[in-house]
Order: sequence, then structure tokens, then C-alpha cells
Amino acid sequence: MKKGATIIMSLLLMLVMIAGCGTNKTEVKGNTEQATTAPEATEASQKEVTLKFSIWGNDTHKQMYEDMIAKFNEQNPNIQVEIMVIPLADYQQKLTIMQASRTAPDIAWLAERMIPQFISTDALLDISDLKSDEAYNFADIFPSGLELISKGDNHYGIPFSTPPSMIYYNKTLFKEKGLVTPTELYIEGKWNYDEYLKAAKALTDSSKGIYGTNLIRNGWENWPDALQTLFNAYGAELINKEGTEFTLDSSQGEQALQLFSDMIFKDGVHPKPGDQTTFDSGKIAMQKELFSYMGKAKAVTDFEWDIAPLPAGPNGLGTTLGYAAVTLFKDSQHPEEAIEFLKYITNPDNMTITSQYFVPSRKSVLESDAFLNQGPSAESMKLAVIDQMAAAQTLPSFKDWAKIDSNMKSVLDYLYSQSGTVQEVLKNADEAITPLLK
Amino acid sequence: MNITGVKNAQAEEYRVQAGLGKRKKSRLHRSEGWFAWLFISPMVLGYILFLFVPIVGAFFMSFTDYSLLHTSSFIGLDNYKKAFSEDPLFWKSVGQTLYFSAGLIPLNLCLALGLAVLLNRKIPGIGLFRTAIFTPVVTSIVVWAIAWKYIFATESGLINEILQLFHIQGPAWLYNFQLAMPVVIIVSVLKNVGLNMVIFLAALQDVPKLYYEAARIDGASKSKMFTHVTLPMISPSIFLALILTLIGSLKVFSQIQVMTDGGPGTSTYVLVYYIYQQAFKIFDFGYASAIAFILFFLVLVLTILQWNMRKRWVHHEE
Repeated sequence: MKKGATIIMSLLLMLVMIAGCGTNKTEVKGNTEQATTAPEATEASQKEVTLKFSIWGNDTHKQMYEDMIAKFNEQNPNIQVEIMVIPLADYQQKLTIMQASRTAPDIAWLAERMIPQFISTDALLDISDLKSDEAYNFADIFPSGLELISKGDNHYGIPFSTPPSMIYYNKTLFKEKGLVTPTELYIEGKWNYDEYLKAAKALTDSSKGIYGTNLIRNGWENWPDALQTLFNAYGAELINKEGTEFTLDSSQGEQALQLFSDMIFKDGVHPKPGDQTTFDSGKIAMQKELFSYMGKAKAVTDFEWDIAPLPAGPNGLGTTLGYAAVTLFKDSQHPEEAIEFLKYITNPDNMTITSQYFVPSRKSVLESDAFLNQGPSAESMKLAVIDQMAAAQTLPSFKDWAKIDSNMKSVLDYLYSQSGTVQEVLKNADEAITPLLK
Repeated sequence: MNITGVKNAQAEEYRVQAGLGKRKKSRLHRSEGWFAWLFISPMVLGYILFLFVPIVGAFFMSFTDYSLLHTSSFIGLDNYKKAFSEDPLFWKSVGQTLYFSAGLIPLNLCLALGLAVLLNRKIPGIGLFRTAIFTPVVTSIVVWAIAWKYIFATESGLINEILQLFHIQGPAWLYNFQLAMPVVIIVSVLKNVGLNMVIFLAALQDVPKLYYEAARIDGASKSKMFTHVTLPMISPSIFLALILTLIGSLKVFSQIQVMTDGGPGTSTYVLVYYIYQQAFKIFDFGYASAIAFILFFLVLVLTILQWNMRKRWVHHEE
């Protein structure tokens, strides 16, 4: 037994030695490289650095950033940036675990509902110093967009995408049925949920697998994204502003959820739970989406499409505002380089580039002609994007969001599987969410 | 080791067997021990580093409120108390795990035995069928579950499309509170039935033919032969398959995560899924560790029970 122990010890020792040699070698290599390539280098600024940058975007977004990074490298050859794409559904979970295991990316996109958690666990780097950087022009960024990502005087990121939700509609299908388009109805001031439902019914053609409308984007589990515009339009509130009470079990909440349920199960104008029919397949006549869908929509060649604001409910338009900010993790080994990169991708020039997918948070870019030309037409862009910005509300975000999200998802399954009426679902939701708010 | 070494070792063995007295352990024996340690050291090291240490770590973690979101503190048995007396979802998960096992085990064993009997003949091309049934066992469970998720899809799923041909509106299999779990059970049975089938096939081929001959001479019918010859002869294999399947079924996770994600509602929450949900979605690692240990004891107790029961219904064991 003693022998065995010695053998294990010696093996362990060997392993340690091997590992030790490994690290020594790379260190030596790093030093010599530095010495030969940049002998005049004085400080950290010239060190070879690789930054990790996490996003939940699609391939077109990744490609856009890669082009940007290539240009960035012309000025900063020593800073490499690696993009990590993490699906939105797993994003918060993955980042939380990476943060705990100290492998968090240096730079990360964060959405509104993730921000309270990362600020409360003190995971993010304060970047308020940018305010005094004249070249960066911090004052150009809409202050309303900064509120979510700030605590007191500290700013933890730069919003880069604040897209209002809107309707992408298949113009070809509208023409075929001889219907008035949402844009025309909106201009006449008649674009409301009654008209919307009428159009959806007229456009639905089950023999061709065509649905009148779809409110789901990014998967059925992303319920706030799907339902919040309805809640807003009907004047229903999920949880009160103080975050102390579940308030959706009101008559307004019931109306909103009933409409959604009827569209799926009674009228059959909306795909059923689990269905993944997409707008670009031509089988959805009116799709609720965000501005960032523009890249995919532009690839459509089979039919004509346009964008319009969401229909109005008893409480107005209810347009929600998507929200994403670029943030820096405090644990980053290279905070200076990370700030440099953050400044670069959110400067006015690059925000103009990102404005092909993301509604910019810089006043100068939002109000530019370049941005208006990113959509199907300047007129539609003005109606569906610019005019909606002021009234649009961000999705609710609360500190214990992961639990609220998980419970609400379970409860909504009763509705999706038709195992309960809307009233019962709301009662269950109250029972599932209220204990979390104490 | 060279040939003389082997010979010496054999000679030593003979001497011991022949009762030629115990000799002090030779140098050779000691060096063999050395080799043995050397060969198993990667396994031992891996076990210690990646299994034993984390298990002990999780055990201690189950007495804390460790969460990724705040600093942790020692809370004694609170996690266990919470599980047993304050958390209905925990009990629901226990119940659903048992439901899964109760559905899976009989189906799996009966189907495996049936297939084994069916495929235990020497006809040309039989190997093809055996391979076909065994293939899912070596397929990745995630791939398997994704494929079946599409087969059971509500719209444009294979099964509902076939039903459509007969003008039957198929149900939303994975979005139905009553159907989701049975669907997962069936998919799990199809995935693993091949493994038990192979175990049974091997056992069936080991049953000496002369027993059947004797039974036939005594005038036993086919079914009598099956219940009185075949079943008792392969009972050790049935027992083995039962234990393996039971333990496997208590640990079910991947197919649930892929196919239903615990839903609809919480109707397919099983223990391991609940552990995952608590640890990696809500980040309550302390509580998740406690449930993991409860599962550990559940598996332990059931295995001990079964092991003791084997004497009663395994009639033939080598």
C-alpha cells in the first residue's frame, strides 16, 4: 500500500513537472516574441492580447463584426478578438457559469433582462471614464438607453441596439387577397387589433400551410418577447413597477392572453406551440419581429415585404423596445484593450455600420439618412422605427428573472397545451410567481 | 514481462496450490504490483480528480446555500428539510421519475426478451435484424432524441402526417400533459432495448439444448418449455438487465431535456432534470447538490433491495 502511494505521488509529481515545463516554455516564447517584434514597446499596449467577445446574433451579425475586427487590427495589430456565438435561450445561463468559473468573455452583449443580475453580482466593469473622452462623444448616446445599464453614476456598458418591435408583412400575399396593407391602415389611423385579426383570418390558408400571423420569434420559450406587446396594448402589467406583486391576473391581462389563445386554437391564424414556420419561407403573412431581422428579410427573393408598426389595442400601440448593450466583464485580464475595442465598435462610424441590423443608440446615427436607407423604404423606416422610439417600452426586467421566467414558462404550457382556460392559467401564474417576489 | 517471468509465476502458483508452503513474496511479485499500479494509475487518477473529489465536494455543498449569484454560507440540513417538507416540485419529480421507471422497465424487458427469443434462430440475414435493433444503443442519445422530437412534432411530424392520411388529427404529443411522458418512455425504450436484447440473446444461446429435448420427451408444450426451462435458465441475466435498466431509468435526463425541456408545465420533470434546473438555470447549487444526494441514496437503497431479492427469484446462478 505504501508502495502504491509512493507511485501515485511520483506520477503526480511527473504530471506537475510536465505541466510546469509547458507553461515555462510558452512564457519564454512570449517573451522572445515581444523582444524581437517590438523592441521599442514600452508598456502593455503592445502586448499580444486575445479578447473574447460573446454575442447571441446570427451569422450575418458575426460576419459584420469580423469585418470590423479586421479593420480594428490595422490600427491595433496586437489585439485579436475572438467572437463566441451563444444561442439567446442559453445566453444568461452560460455567461453566469462562465463568470463563476472565471472564464467569462472580456466583452459581452447583454439584454435588458440579464443586466440586473450581472450588475447586482458586481460582474461588470464601470466605464464612466468614457464620458470625459471627447473623441468618443458620449453625450451623443440617448440618455434613456443608458438608464438600464447604469447604477448611480456608474455606467456598465453602451447600448448598441434598441429596436422597436414591428410587423414584417408579406406584401405579395396582401395583394393576392386584395387587402389593405397594415401601412395603409396605420396611415389612416385604423391599424388596431380588430383589423389585424380580420386580415390574419383573410390571409390564413391552411391548404397551403399559410398562417395569417405569428408573434413568436426566437422560440416558444421566449414568452416575454412574444406576449409583452399584447400586454402593453391591452394595458396589462406582468408585475408591478416595484417588483412586489404579480399583476397580470387582471381583466386586461385576461383579454390579452385570450386574444393570443384564440388566434392559435379558435381561429387557427397563428402557428401552434412548437411550430417553427418562419417569415422568410413565405408561409407567415404578418410576423412580429425586431429591426435586427432586416438582414434575413433582405435575403428574401420570393415575395415582396414591408414593415409596419404593431396594431393598437385599447391602451395604445404597446410597442416594446428590444435592448442590447455591449458590456465588459470585470474579471477581464485585459481591461484596457477591452475598453479600446468597446469604444471602437460603438463609435459613430461603426454604429452606422451596425445600424443595418441594430437600431442605433447614437442620436447622430439614428437621425442620419444612412440609417433611413437601411430599411425597405425611408417612409416605412420612419413609420415603423423612428416614430415608435419615443413611446416604446423595454421588456420588464427583475432581479430574480431566471426563476420568474422558469415558472412562467411552466404555467404557460397549460395554455399552449389547452389544459386550462386563460383564467386558470393566470391563477396558476399568480401562485407560481407571487412567492418569488417576497 | 518475458516468458520465463510467466513461467516462474505459474510455477509459483502451482507451488501454492500444491500446498508447498508459503514463501515470502518474491521480488517479482512486488514488481508486478508496481506494474499494476502503473497501468491503472490513469484510471485511478481520473477517478479521484473527476469523480471522487467532486462527489465529496457536492456532499459538502449540499449543506450550504451556495449559489453563483451570492456568497455561500453553511445552513446545515436546511436543503434536505426544504426538499422533504417544503418543495412540492421535488416530490412531483420523485413521482415522475418512478412513473418513468415503472413505464420503462417492464416495456423494455418484455420487448427485449421477445426480440431475443424471436431473433435467437439460425436463419440467413438474422444478423441484419440484430444489428438494426442494436444500432440505437450506440447512437448518441441527443441525436436520437432530436430525431424523435421531429417525428413526434405536432405539425409536419412523421407520426401526425401518417395519421393525417387516415384523416385523423394527431395530438400535440410533446405538448400534452398526459402524452409527453409516455412518448419519452417509448423513445427511451426504443433507444436501449437492443442492449438488453443482446444480454438475453447471449443467455438464450447458453441454455443447453438437452433440457429442451428432455422437456419435449416429457410432453411439455412450447409455452411450458419457455416458462419452466428458458425463464429459470436465463433469470440471472434478467436480473442483471433489471438492475441496469432501473439504475439507468432513475438517471434519465438527456431525452427529457432535448424533447420536452421538463414541459409541458412540469409534467416531465424527473429528478435529474430537476437537479439540472435548480443548479444551472436557477443557480441554486446547494439545493441541487442535496437533491443529487437524495437520488444517490434512492439508487443505493433500490439496488440493495434488488440484490437481496435476487435469491428469491433467481433460480439458477453460476
